[in-house]
Parts: sequence; structure tokens; C-alpha cells
Amino acid sequence: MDAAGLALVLATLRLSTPLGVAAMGELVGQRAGVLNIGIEGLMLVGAFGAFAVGVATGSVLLATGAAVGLGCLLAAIFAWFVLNQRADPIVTGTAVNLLALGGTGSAYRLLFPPERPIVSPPAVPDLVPGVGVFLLVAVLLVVAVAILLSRTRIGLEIRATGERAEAAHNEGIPVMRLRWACTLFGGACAGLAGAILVLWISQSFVEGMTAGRGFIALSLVLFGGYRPARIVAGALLFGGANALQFQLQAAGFEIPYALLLMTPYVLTLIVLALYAGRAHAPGDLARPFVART
Amino acid sequence: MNVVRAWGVPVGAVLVASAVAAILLALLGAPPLEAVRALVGGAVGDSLALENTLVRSSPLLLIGLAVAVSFRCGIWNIGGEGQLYVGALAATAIATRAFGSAPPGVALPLALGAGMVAGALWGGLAAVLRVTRGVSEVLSTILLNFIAVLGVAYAVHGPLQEVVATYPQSDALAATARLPLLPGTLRIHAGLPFVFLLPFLLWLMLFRTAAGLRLRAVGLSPEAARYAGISTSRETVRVLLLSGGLAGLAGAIEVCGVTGRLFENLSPGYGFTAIAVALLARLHPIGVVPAALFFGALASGSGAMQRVAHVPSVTVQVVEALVILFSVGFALPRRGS
Amino acid sequence: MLRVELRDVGKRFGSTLALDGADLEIEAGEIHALLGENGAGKTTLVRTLYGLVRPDRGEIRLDGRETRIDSPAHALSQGIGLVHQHAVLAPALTVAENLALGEKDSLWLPPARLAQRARTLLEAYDLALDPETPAGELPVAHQQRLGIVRALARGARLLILDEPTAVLAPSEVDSLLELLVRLRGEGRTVVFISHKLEEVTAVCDRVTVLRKGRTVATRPVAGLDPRELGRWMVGVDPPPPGEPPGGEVGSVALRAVGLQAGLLRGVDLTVGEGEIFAVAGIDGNGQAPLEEVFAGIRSLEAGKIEVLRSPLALIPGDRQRTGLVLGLAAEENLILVEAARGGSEPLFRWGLLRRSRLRESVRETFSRFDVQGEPAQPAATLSGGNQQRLLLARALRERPAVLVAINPTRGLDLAATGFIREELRRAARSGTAVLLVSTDLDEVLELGNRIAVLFRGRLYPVEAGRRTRERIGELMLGQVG
Repeated sequence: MDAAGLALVLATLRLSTPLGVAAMGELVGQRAGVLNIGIEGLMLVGAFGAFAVGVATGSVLLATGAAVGLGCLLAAIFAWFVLNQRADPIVTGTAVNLLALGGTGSAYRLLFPPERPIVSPPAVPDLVPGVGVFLLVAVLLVVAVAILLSRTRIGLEIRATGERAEAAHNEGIPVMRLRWACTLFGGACAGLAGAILVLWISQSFVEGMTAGRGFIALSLVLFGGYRPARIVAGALLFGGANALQFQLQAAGFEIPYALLLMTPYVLTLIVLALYAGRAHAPGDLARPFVART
Repeated sequence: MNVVRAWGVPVGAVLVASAVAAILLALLGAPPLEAVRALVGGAVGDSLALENTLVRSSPLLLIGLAVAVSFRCGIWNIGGEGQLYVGALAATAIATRAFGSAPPGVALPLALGAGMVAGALWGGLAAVLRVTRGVSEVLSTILLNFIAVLGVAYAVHGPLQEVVATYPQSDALAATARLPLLPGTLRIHAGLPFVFLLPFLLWLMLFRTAAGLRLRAVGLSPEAARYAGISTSRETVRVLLLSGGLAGLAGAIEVCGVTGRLFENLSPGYGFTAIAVALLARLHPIGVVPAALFFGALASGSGAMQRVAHVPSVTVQVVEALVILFSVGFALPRRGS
Repeated sequence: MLRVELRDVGKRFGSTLALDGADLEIEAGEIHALLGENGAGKTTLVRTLYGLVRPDRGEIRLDGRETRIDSPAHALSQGIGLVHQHAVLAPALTVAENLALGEKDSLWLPPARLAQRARTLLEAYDLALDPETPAGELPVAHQQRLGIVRALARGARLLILDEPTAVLAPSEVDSLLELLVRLRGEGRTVVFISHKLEEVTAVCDRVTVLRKGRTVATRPVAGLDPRELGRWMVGVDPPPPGEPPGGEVGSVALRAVGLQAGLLRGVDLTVGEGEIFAVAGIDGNGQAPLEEVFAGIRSLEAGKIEVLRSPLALIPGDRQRTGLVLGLAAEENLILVEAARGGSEPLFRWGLLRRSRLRESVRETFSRFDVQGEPAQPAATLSGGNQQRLLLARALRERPAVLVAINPTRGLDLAATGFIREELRRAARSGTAVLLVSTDLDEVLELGNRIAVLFRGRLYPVEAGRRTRERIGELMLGQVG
């Protein structure tokens, strides 16, 4: 393989990883019946948390921990409104995205005013040159989610909860607790994805830097038909297209920048148009649950 | 009791959201009281501030209505921002390229009409994807937002860039395509009175016509509506055309009445704020008026807050998000339940 | 063995008093029937025992100890199992997965192990099912049996069956009753909810009758007079059934030829002016697609429907889900069909609703069809009977030439049932062609000029000379000869 090819492969892996990680969290949540479109915001607070703590401590571990923690915290707010108050998940998710955008924007401008010298967070160590440790974490995460969902009792209970919460409840499965746990897991994954963006991919924080990656991860869950392996394939496809776009640009192809940036969104839309109708969504997805009347 | 519900919840939500935002600011080391003073001054402090608030309410009102009707129909149009951008793009294209030299009676209606049609088609695209391909409008409208915003970025760097090609912006719109200012004002354009008339028309449509009844029926119970002979697909397409058209009109009015040019970041997120507007109004067209004025004041005051008190203007988004959560995070009409 | 007592249980849902001091005493090792009309409170009472309903007052005693059961998990741990009429299964999960739901014995559950466990269980209860089939694809009777096996696998000593026979064919009922006897033989206790006397007398030891949320009586079944049971259930002697309309049948108003859609495998029918053509059968034999094709929301795979006289009106089969838009006002529901067609004179002018005309027309319709409620009241706040009257009014106010009515009296009290049946007869007398699809055998016998039975997607006419419950029962089982 020549240098350009290798660079393309590495860039593909790098750009796919946050998508795949965030999508795994969303998958587990949706399998339990929780549709969280606030995933974009969860990723963003993760990114900011990783940046701020990374800059302050210089520790990749602490930065990642902060990202995961903040993702969980925001996911908990979402969960409380959607699961306990039975608020609409679409509206709540939209609010969570706004909250993250405004919150990280305000905090960034207050904590890192323009007059301060430019700072950067620590970089994640490489597994092999060009491949950060996060890739290994992501692979382990995908394998764990796949096994959890298809071969464990908890996975069965999660799927039953998303498919027909009433049936699960009637068999003594703690529907609320499972949905909470899965939503928090989704928040942790999205937060981790944000950390990957900052600590591996860009080494900086920019307001709104997730730029729709959360929504693309959301689409990947549909695209992959709620199956981990296919979702990973989708993430690689999108990461690859994104990497190719940067390579073309670097190679000096005269493609307007805005149109290049547009490609992942157009691609996602086309893919959804081709596959969305075919996926079997969990039967009780986005439906509120009442345990006792 | 009804009065308490109609006013108490929204007002309470606004108060709680503001309080939470102020506490967050204090935690981050910013002076909350000073920020509030600057914000109020920037929103209603003098006649210019008031005019500014009114002008900024206009897109919020239009897109707020757009969101309200679509949510009433059980359609989650999150795409107001993108529809605004394509509306502005179409109006600019008409007013700077195609019909820039047309007489005043022609150019302006054409520009506004083009914006409306473009917005409607952008919304309609999401409707078609949902009806024919089963794509959730939530995802498609979000993706279409990114595409529209980047499309405008492309246009002002490329085909629609000003002739002198200095900045990434369009040429100034021909004077014939601009909304004139009302006499005695510095910023109030002639479109504004018309915009403030629309909530009443929308109310009439929703509650006093067969079309409005169908739309609400589909939103409340698509199943029962279908059994009564209503085509949910047709209503979906219609409501997204209407909703997109309103948002597109907002974009056209922005370029024709306020900025006079198209450029990137034309909207400071009006399309998203409008969701807060509609929800604060409890999806009622008349309620959209005070809600839009409130968020218009916030938008108008946030600039002063940043200048005077050095509090980032994006903090306003936190208030918006909290208003959404506190006002209607609890009881919303939803499709099929 | 488990002895259960419920004392003075009360529960109110909004404006409805579901339980008003009901008692229930179940001896260990018996089959105990819970009998009562629709809405008598049977289901609410057992859901209280299973931790699905939080009672407002009253107490539960298990083996003499007062116990608060606040979740199914708790009920299961006490050895109580509940199987709903439509056993609540996760439809996309397989038989094996559904059987394993709630098992706590092992964290590691690979598919092979699930299937092995399922096979053992299915064999033990003579159920020949493939463990890999998605549960939603099974016939109702098998789903129900699966629900029972699941409850037994969880160690239920007391098994509650909530109206299991309503969705079964007679032979399936017999096999279920055999199973109940076998369970009693194994030392388990069974609570069997029904509203059919013959099932109660066939296998049950004791019976408790509920009426309007209260316990009327608990008696040993042996030696009971069925007429007395009937009186306890309804409070008075049941009214004699009306006569089927015997007027002149005019020319054909509705004709269907070779309908195929979903479960429908070629249905032919004609309905004449002034005639009620009644379609009997157990739910799940094609009633749903039949309703959907007449509602115009499902396209035919083959065949055609000819509406020779219009307009055609429909009374959908589920008033809360497919009939009314519960969040809209009663009056808005009344004009929904007109609005669907675009809204024309006299209620609309230039597209605008004329409020005064509407109010006038609505008041007239409400009094004509005896709808108790305010026109501006949300349909959700009307009682079941008034909701159904509203649907009837919507269908009949335009004097349709053809009326398709699906289960028009399901779950209603006697007064509302009588009113609606009389209105259907009256419509037929005035020349409307009525297609009645009903799972209620009495209704079909009472109203139908002609009767046919829908079985596995085909329609089997009941011969004119053999219009009896027995004959219809045979056809419901597919015994055509």
C-alpha cells in the first residue's frame, strides 16, 4: 500500500471511531426503547469536558473520565424528563442539544477568553503510529455491546423492554431502571466519542465542533438495522467518505469547501432514504411507560 | 384554573430558566446582575433597542408559527433554520441575479414569493422522504439544516458572491426588492405589520377550517383520522409545505427587510429558538406573539450583554433550552397516545 | 398451595369507579371462576392482585398474612402468575426468548441454551412450537398457551387467566379447560375470568360474581341455578333478544368480490338495501383486514368492492383508537368525516366553519342519538356508551345508503347496547344496507337477516334453515359440512 492509501485508511479509522462509539450508546438506548436525539449535545459536552480537563490536568485519562461523566450527567437530565416526567423525547432531545451548544459555548468563552494564549489538550497515546488507543477501546466496546445484546440475560431484558415494555414489566423486569441505565450508557458513549474528537482527532475545541456527528451516529443506528456489526460497517463507510473528502482537498482538487463539508449530510440523507424504511425499530421505541395505575 | 395553566406555566418556566442560567453564569465567574441589566437595556432600554427587539421577533414569530402548526400535526419539523436559509438564498438569487432590475411592484413580491416557495419545497422534501421512504422527518429536517446552511456558504463564496468578490457575501439587493422602512423608524420594515397579522390567520386556519381540523386530528390520533377518511400522508405533505413556506418567508424577509444581503451566519439560530417560541406558546398561534417578543428581546439584549457585561451571547441558548424543558417538558400533545 | 383473600378493594380511574369494595376469597387448589359483565371490575381486581393496579383502599392477604403487592416482580415472587387474554408477549422476540423473560438463574444466555430450555418447557406442556419463531407470528391461542407455560415456568402456584376464552374457538376452549383441570391436579390454584356460564359450570369449583365493582356472591358451582348466576351478573333478568328485521330487501347496494388482503383469502358478499348482513367469527380470522379495506386504509391484493349506493359510512371497531380522536371536541369528531372530504355547505362557507350552524346541527344530532355530553367537551371525557353513540351519530347523521359497523356494542352496558342495536335495525328499515361484523354471537343472531361466519379469511354462509348457535359454532371452527 502506498503512503496515500495508508493515510486514507488511518484517516478512515480515526474519523469512524467517534461515530461508531456514539452509535453503540444510541443503539443500546434505542434497544431499551429510549430515542435520544440529544446525542449531538451529549457528544459536545463530552468534547468540552475532555478539552477543559485535558488542558487543566494534562491527563488523557482524567480528560476522558470528565467527558464520560459530563455525557452521563446530561443524559441523566434527558432521562429524568423523558422517563420520569414522560416528556416528549424529540422536544427534550432538541432542548438538550441547545443546552449543550449554549452551555459549552458560554463556558468556553468565559474560561478560555481570546486574550488567553492558545492551549491544547494532551494527545491520546498511539497503539501503533497513527492509531490511537481509542480505536482499541472502540473495538472492545462494539464487541461488548454485541455480546451483551445477543447472548446475555440483561441483553434479552433490554430488548424486551424496548420491544414491549408491558411484557417485560409483567415478567418482573425493572423497565424503568433498565431504561435509565441504558440512557446513561448512551450518555457515557457519546461523551467518550466527544473525548475522541478532542484528544485524538482535532487537539482543540471549537464551538459546535461536533457539527452534526451525533445526528450521523443516530442515522447509523437506523442504517445498520439496530445490529452492531452493520452499524460499524456504516461508521466505516461514513468515516471513509469523510477521509476521502479531506484527501481530495489535500490533493488540490478544486472542490468548493462548503460542498465538501456538505457531503456527509447528503450521503446520510440518501442512505436513510434507501434503508430507513426497512429497519425494524423496537416496538415501544419512544413510548412512555407507566408501571402501575 | 385555565388562566393559571395558560399563563402560569410559561411565565414560571421563563422565570425558573432565567434563574438557573444566572446561577450557572455566577458559577462560571460572570456577573449575573450586571448581565441582566445590560440585557434588559439592550432589549427595551431605548427606542432603537425596542425596534431591534421587534425586528428580531419577526423571524421568530414566523418560524414559531411554522413549528406550532407542524407540531400540532404531529410532525416534528426541526428544520426551520434550514428552511429560513433556503428562503433567504432564493430571495437573494431573485433579487440580485434574475430580476434585480425589475420594477418595485414586481421584484419584491417575486423575491418574497421565491423565498416562501423555496422554504416550502425544502420542507416538502422532508415530507416526501417520510411519506414515500419512511424517513423520520426529525432526522431529515436536521440533516437538511446542515445542507442548507452549507449551501448558502457555497453560494456566497461562489455563484452568488458579490461582483467585486471581496467578502463572502452577495451583492446588495436591488432597492426595488427591498422592504421599505416605516416612516419615522430606523429599523422597522414594512413587512413587520404583515408578519404580526399572520398569527390571527393561522389561528383561523387551525380552529375554524376543515383543513385545520384535519391537521389537528392527524396530530392527535393518526389512526382515527385515517379511519375518518383523512389521508395522513397528504396532511403531512401539506403541513410541511406550509411550515417550510413560513420559515422560508422569514428568510426572505431577513434579506429583503433587514440585512439587504446574503451572507453566512445570517441567522443566529432563529430556527432553533423558534422551537422554544412555539413550545412556550403551547403551540397556540396567538401565544406565539408574546413568546416571539420575549425571545426577540433576549436576542436583541444578548448583544449588549456581551459588549457591556462580557457575558457570552450564546448564554441565551441555555435560557432557551431551559425554557423548553421547564415549560413543556411535562405535557405535550403527541401523536398516537 | 396458596390461599388468597382480597377485602373491600376500591379503585377509581378518573370519573369511573372501577372497584367499589370488592371481595375475593380463593382457596388453595381450586379453580375459582370470576364472573361478571364487561366493566364489572374483574380485570381491575386481578390486576390489583398482580401489582399492576394500585388500589385506593382494601387489603390483600396471602395465606392469612396481609401483603402489599406493588409490582409484578413481587407478585411473581409470591407465586402469583397472570396471563392476559392476549398474552402480553414481545412480538419481535422468539418463542424461546419470551419463555426466558424474567428468569434470573443465569447471566449467560446464548441462543442455543435458550432454545434448549424452551424445548424442554414446550414438551412438558405438549406445545409443538418452534422456539425460533417470533412470538408475534403465532396464532392467538398459541400465544396464550405460551403465556401460561411462561407463568408456570416461573413457578406460579396461583395462576390468573384474564378472559382467556373470548379469543378462542370452541375446540380451543375445550383444550384450555382440560389444561386448567390438569393444573388443579398438579396442586395449583387457578383464577379463571369469564363471562360465559357454561365454561364456569364445566370445570370450576367455586364462583364469585362481580357487578359494578362489588362482589355480589361467592358460591360453590355444584348445584347452582344458571339463571340465578345470570341475575347476579346483570342485576335483573336479561331482556329477551329482539327479532331480526324482516322487511323487504331491495336491490344490491354493496358488493364485494374475491377480496384478498392480508388474512382475507377471497371473500364474496352482497348486501341489499334494507338488509343487515351479519358476519360472525372469532377475532383474528380476517376481521381486521376486512375492516381496513372498507375503511379505505388498506389496499386490496385482489378482488374489488362495488359501492352501488352511496354514501358509505363506517363505524370503526375500536372507538378509542380508530373511531374517535379523543383529544378533539365531541362536535369536532362529529364533523370529522365531512372535514375529511374538504368541508362544504352548509357547515362550511368559503372554507370557514360556521359555528352557529354547527352548534345547531350538533345539538339536534346529540338529542336524536341520545348523546349525553357537551358538544365542546373533549371526546376523551365522554363515557364509553356516549362515545359509541357519538360514532353511531357520525355514521348515521348523513343517512348513509351503506353502513359498515364493526363490533358496534363491544364493552357497552345493556342500555347502550339495546339503543345501538335498535338504531341499526331502524337504519335498515329505512333502506340502509348494513354490513355488521361482530364477534358477539347474540348480536349476530339478533340483528342479521342473513349470517355468515368468517373463518381463516373465508366467509361461510349460515344456511337459512340452520340458524342456531350450534351451527354457527361449528362454522367458527371451520366444520363446513
